[in-house]
Amino acid sequence: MEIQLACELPRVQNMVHVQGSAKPRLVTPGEVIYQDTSFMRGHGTYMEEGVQVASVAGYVTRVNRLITVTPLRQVYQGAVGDTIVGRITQVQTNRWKVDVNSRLDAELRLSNIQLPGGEQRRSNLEDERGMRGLLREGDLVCVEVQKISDDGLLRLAARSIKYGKLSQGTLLAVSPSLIVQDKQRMHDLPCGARVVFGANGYVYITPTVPQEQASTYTVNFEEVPVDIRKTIGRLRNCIKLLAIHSIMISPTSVTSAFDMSVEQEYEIKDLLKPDVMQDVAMATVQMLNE
Amino acid sequence: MTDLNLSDAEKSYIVDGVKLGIRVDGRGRLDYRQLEIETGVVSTANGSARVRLDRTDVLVTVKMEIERPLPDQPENGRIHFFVNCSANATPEFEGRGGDDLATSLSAMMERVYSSPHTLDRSKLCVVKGKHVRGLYIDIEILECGGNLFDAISLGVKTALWATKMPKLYVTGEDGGELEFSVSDNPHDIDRIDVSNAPILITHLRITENLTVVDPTPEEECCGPVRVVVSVTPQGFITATQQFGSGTFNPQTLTASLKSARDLGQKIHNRLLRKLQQEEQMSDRQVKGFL
Amino acid sequence: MGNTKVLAAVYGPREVRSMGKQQFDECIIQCQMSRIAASQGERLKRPTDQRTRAMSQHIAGVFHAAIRKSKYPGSQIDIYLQVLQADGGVMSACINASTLALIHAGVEVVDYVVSCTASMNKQTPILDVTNQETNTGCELTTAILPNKGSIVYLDTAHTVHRDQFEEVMDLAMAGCQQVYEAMHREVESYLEDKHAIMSHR
Repeated sequence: MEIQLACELPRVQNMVHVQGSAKPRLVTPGEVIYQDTSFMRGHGTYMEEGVQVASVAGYVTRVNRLITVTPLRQVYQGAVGDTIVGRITQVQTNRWKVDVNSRLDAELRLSNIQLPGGEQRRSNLEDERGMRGLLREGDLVCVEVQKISDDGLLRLAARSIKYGKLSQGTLLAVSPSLIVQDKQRMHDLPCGARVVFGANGYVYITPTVPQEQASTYTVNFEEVPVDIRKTIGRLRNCIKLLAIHSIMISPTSVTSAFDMSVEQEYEIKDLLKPDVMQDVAMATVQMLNE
Repeated sequence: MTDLNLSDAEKSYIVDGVKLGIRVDGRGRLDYRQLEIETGVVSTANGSARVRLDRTDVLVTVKMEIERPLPDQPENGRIHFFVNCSANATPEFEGRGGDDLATSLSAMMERVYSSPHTLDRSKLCVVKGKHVRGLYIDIEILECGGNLFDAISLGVKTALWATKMPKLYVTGEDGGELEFSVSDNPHDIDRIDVSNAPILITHLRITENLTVVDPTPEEECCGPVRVVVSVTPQGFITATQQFGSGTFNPQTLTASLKSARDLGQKIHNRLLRKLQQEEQMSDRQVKGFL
Repeated sequence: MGNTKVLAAVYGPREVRSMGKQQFDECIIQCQMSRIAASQGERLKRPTDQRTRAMSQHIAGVFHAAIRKSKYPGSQIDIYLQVLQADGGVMSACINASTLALIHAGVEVVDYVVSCTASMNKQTPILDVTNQETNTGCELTTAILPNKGSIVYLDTAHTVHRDQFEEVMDLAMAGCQQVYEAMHREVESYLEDKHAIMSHR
């Protein structure tokens, strides 16, 4: 075991200097954004006495007449079409409750998953009884947000072959705002592992699976060989260090951090040390800047 | 310990990793994470220490009070352990939620320090049979990231090392009651000899015949049974305790005890060196909680 | 704040755990405060007692006024506070720490909630009192929404003369504004740092 004194640890430094150009406006709660009432108010703002006021600390974005303030950290808000990773928390009569790092547990209906066997067959009573056989409490699923109901409940769907239960691997939870918005969420990285960047901040790392084997609700319990484990472990630690230093997480940043750590010959477990983490993070930022 | 609920796939990934000798975060079976220590974080206590092991965060404070000795040990000072799992750590500890865990942790510490080989309690005696110093050791769990036993034992040892008790002088007698004066010179202090104070090493049984040290919460999910061994710097084992429901193979147990002994001695050496180093720093800034 | 140190943790908004409490049009706010045993001169026997429970309820009440509850129907927000060192103004420190934690968590609030204490020493009003100072005079704790100028919490202990009350109150309000400026600065520089890193993709 290595022991460090708290005063010896590197302080998290300001890694980049703010470039003057295109700096968005930052506001904190209670601050007036615009005096003008003609704007529409979006998330993170509210109207009072004819002025628009921020209710979170973050940056202001304006799309046409809609003003929103995006905080740097918050629970997952949900957007239709997002691919997310969730964990089953309850099995109910014809639906599952799924923890998706949101303010309410999301809902996945039995009718919204692709049942094994038939392509688009209707679910029957037997399926309802066998729900726990498909997905149990604790299981991880990769799903799509289909709809957001009025009270903010997310309705999920897993209607295609790429969604479904996740097989062996490891989960990392990061802040959802660190995940780069991207259509494609599942990436087979060149280093030899598949990473699912859930839009809700849950990142799942698994071994690459051949396309035809990507079955939906059965898990392959075959032992994962050591070299793939090493890759996954390194990826995990890299994503973790990026998240700690609030660097946006995308396939590019993860791959560069991964390459950087290999290049500097850090062992996987070295990447758990704060000083090494900061080194790699800074190097990654530099590399991304170039 | 916490309500993590892993899927079978994740569990099997962890278990297989241990079999192959590479854990999810790249560590080997007997690798610890990096420990971060700091003393003197709470100025109202006689001694305090904060210990961090990745996400695990423990604050230990020591407070001295004068009290009556136990009738059967008239010249021994008393040591009391109290563990408080605050709701800051995880919301499950709210109300009475953390009480079970707190009881088992404090009972273990109480047992570990009950052995006469650990601390020379006669040094805590003020007037034989009448007044002894009592040490109230309060352990606050601020965050749970696995391996609480080891973390709190290291925290206790560090806090005891940092404890500074003002010297006591008997000034006179008043109707059979002794009067004390407490020295208020900050340099006129008594320290506690921690050269024999033990630490705990936990071995978590993941699968048949295989144990890991310093488990993460995910790993704690996969192995219900653990053996906690208390080791002194000389390599004596002062207490062992098996926790959880499950069985140990006798050979595994012996191997665990042996490896705990070796690891324990190494960690003791490093800890002592670091503590001495910290003490010699003249203008150390207390990092505290910022 | 000086020798008073408080840790705050915010969980949520998230699914309500005890179903009976769930409200469908807004969220519920819970607060729990505890003190570590060595936080004061005397060792405390237990981390929570009637006083901390009462204070927790007050704090939850304060944030009922500040959090935009209608934004989170059916959810729950927990605020956990841990007093590490207590030397006067514990309530204020707790409120300020909770505000910062809520902002950090990205919870929608109407405004900052900032709090400060004031007292009267003989004839001179004093700000941000320590334990020792409260022994000799009154203690007035107030919390305000600085951009609105409205008071969300007021609490006085010991007697304060009617003529002096306004003086003390004014001072406490001025103190709150100071606290607000300091917190605002911190939050802004934090935002700038983080945003600079996060805008690199």
